Amino acid sequence: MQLDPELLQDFLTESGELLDQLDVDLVTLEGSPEDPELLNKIFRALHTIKGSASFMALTNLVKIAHAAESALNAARNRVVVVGRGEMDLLLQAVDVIKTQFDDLRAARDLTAPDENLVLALAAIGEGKPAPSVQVPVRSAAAESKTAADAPAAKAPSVPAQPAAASPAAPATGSPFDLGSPAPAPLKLPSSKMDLLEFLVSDLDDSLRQVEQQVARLGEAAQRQSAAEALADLTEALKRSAEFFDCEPMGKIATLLDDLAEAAPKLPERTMARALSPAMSAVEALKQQSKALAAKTTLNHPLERFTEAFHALLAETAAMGTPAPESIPAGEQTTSASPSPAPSPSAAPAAMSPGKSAEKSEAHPAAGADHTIRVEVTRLETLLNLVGELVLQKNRLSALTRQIGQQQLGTQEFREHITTASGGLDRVTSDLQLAVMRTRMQPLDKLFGKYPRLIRDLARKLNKQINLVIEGGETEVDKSVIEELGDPLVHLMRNSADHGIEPPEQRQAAGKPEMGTIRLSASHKGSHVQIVIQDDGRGIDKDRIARKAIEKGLYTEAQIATMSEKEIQRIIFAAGFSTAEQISDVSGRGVGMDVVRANIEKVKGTIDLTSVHGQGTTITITIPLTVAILSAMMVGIGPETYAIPLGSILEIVRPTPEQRSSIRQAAVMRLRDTVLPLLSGGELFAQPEGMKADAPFAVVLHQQDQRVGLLVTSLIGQQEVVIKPLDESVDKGGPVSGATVREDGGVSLIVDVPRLFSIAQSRARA
Amino acid sequence: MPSASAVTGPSKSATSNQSQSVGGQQLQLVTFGLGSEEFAVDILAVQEINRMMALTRVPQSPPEVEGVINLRGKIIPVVDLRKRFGLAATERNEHSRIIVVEVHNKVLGFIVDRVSEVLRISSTIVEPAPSMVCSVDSDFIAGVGKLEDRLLILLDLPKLFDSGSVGAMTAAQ
Repeated sequence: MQLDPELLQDFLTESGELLDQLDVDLVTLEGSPEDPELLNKIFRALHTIKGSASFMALTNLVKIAHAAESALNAARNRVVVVGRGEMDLLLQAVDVIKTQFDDLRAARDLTAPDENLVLALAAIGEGKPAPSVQVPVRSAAAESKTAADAPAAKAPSVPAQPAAASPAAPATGSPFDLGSPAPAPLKLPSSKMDLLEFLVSDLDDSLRQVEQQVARLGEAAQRQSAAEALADLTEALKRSAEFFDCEPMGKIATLLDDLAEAAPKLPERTMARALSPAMSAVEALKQQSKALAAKTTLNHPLERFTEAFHALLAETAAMGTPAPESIPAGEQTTSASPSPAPSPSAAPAAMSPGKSAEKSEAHPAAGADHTIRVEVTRLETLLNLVGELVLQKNRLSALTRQIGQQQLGTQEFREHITTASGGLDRVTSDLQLAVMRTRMQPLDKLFGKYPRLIRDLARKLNKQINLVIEGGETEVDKSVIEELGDPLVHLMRNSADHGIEPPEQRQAAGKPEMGTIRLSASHKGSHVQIVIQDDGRGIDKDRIARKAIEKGLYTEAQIATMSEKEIQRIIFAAGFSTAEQISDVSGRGVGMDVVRANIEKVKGTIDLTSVHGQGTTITITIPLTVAILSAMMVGIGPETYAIPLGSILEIVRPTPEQRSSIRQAAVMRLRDTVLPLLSGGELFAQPEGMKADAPFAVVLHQQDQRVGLLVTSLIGQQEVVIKPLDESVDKGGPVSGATVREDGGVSLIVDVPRLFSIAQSRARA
Repeated sequence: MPSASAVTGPSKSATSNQSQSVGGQQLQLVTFGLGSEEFAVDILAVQEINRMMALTRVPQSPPEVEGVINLRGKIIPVVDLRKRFGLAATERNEHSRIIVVEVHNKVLGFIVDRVSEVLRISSTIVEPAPSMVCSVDSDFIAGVGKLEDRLLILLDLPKLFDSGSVGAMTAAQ
């Protein structure tokens, strides 16, 4: 496949976004199938995709997009109502397009759409509802967009255009010369204005076909079918004209209609003579279409033309004689010439090459000028550089402090350098924030996929599920979004599959048949909290306990000492899945532990509460960014470590009375609780003899577990830039990532989840 | 960066014109010593040579990984080559160096006892490694350079820092 790679990339990104949105919108549409705005939005998105695809000659893509578009058009025109059957077909079409996008990315030939799907969609387009109930067939020309309901409330909402609506000088010379009149502003209510862009592009499609059919009229053998096709097309044109409130267009369309009607009976010679004016008429329509695209209309002087044209057509009836076969060859060729390459494109299914793509791109949302696409790698470089800058700034601040402490230089010098350093401090912080912002994306990017997911699942599982999404506008770092994708899909599936019960069961339990999954996101300080809540069957603690014992994860005695919450949390343990049968929905046994691992990878936490019979709530807390961390710097032996501030509950200096040991494990009494104490020196494998004195206990928490980490010294709170640790050194120790200190040295970042799991495995051993 | 720069690029240090053999490909090598033996690596793999600096130990990392350092904002692992070869540990001194190389598209450093010189030799004097030539596993040896007065062991860096050997040295970045 030879495609300009850059063009292809643009297409994939832009149309890819539209495609994602399509899924969301279609599912929304299912709930309100007659929402005209939504229908229009979906239609427009499909149309844009189709346009760009045809520009790149992606025939298979155009084919399916076109079919789906026709179906939607019928819905827009209230010819059909989008019910479940129709929706399935439309969603299938979107899936086909997605597959084709994958093909494009992999530089494969495009998958051809299933012919039956195309036909089924086309049938909807012709006004037949999905489960083939025959309904009066509407011509395929319904393709040319005509919102039949034209209330024509003329609001003068028109951009200031050259108002010179010159009624055009009366044409001299041939009555068939329509000239090129000056454009007059188009008067349309703004709701219609919005539709202009794609209506015009479809008008262009129709006109190209009109042109072809007019040319075919010249050939006796094809005249009959051409006339029929033309009649259909002109019918649609007339409706468009009505919609645009464009009288001249309607008149010309009527003329062409007359021609179509008269053509089969016209003597050959007259027919030949009629072709040229007919082409002029088409030409005039094309001008009109261009004018409409620019929100103006052309007022062609039609009186003489109409008169002469009608006279021409009437001539036949009067003469009534089949004319001799003497066609002035020259005349015919000229008349047919404006339609080159009469590509016998299958019926009126327009595969608009090029033009429509340009047209639809020509009026993108006004906001387009305010955004540019930037490669992610560039942003990453920028972020790294800012990280470096922060480090250098920190060094400079340290030096400045030193200058102050040691009274170096003159008083004036010290003041200046302090001011300069402070200024740099502020600017760097702002810069850092600004760069981080460029990487932020709304969670909607992820959430947008779930309505479709849940809808499909609900149908597959025969359940009724209402998905409520809140706070999708909450923004988090791009890398976090990427890491969250899989876990969230998994959790949503779990809720739909294991959580929500079938309607009968729900009814029996006195719940509404329709289950609800609520997905919400909100800011919590420097973190974002995502909550997935369902009103399903909840987690059966006893079943979890049984399974855990069966699988040898815990002994019965251990289970006996565990709280309900602790037992519920076993589902996060590796290799645990309660799915009795493996379905293709969820329950492959790699479930929740993978989810947890993914969340922890972005320094997030996951927690779960569930009430048996009433539902489950899963709370995910993730940092806004993975690049910068608020940390407490502590000294353990000779090394400095950074502990994520979010994991620290408090820092205490335990008295000897508070410290004791239970079964040789060090513990600390803190107010009325007892928590295990971990020696930092031991945990972080400091060389022997460095264990020394560790007077401070940093109380860390994970979910509702707590532990005290003994450290040698407290250094202070800092924003640190997280740098990845090479895999060759990161072997599961209680650290993940490193940061560069002000002095250029490296400090490791404590991985709290790992620390807890190490602590737990020790406690069990 | 405190102790970084130091001996900057090896290309700046004196290039020996010893052993100008005729014919064969010219090899440009950085030579260094470990104990009594002399080793060499292709100069193209070497990014820089640094004096010893403070290393940050990483808990539970493989034993031969001495720690990590900050190389202009990038955290890179540093391997103790003595440990890698199973030689006895010695005290680091003012001659100890960290040679920073790029292997498998990754940057890492290794500690050597001393860096000797940059050498040009002809590939004709390099012979394949005999199975038992020195303390080093012959798998890691690309060849042995026979100089007039001594032997030079050419190391095969990609094999030396292969995924299997020092943890998973590949992957990432």
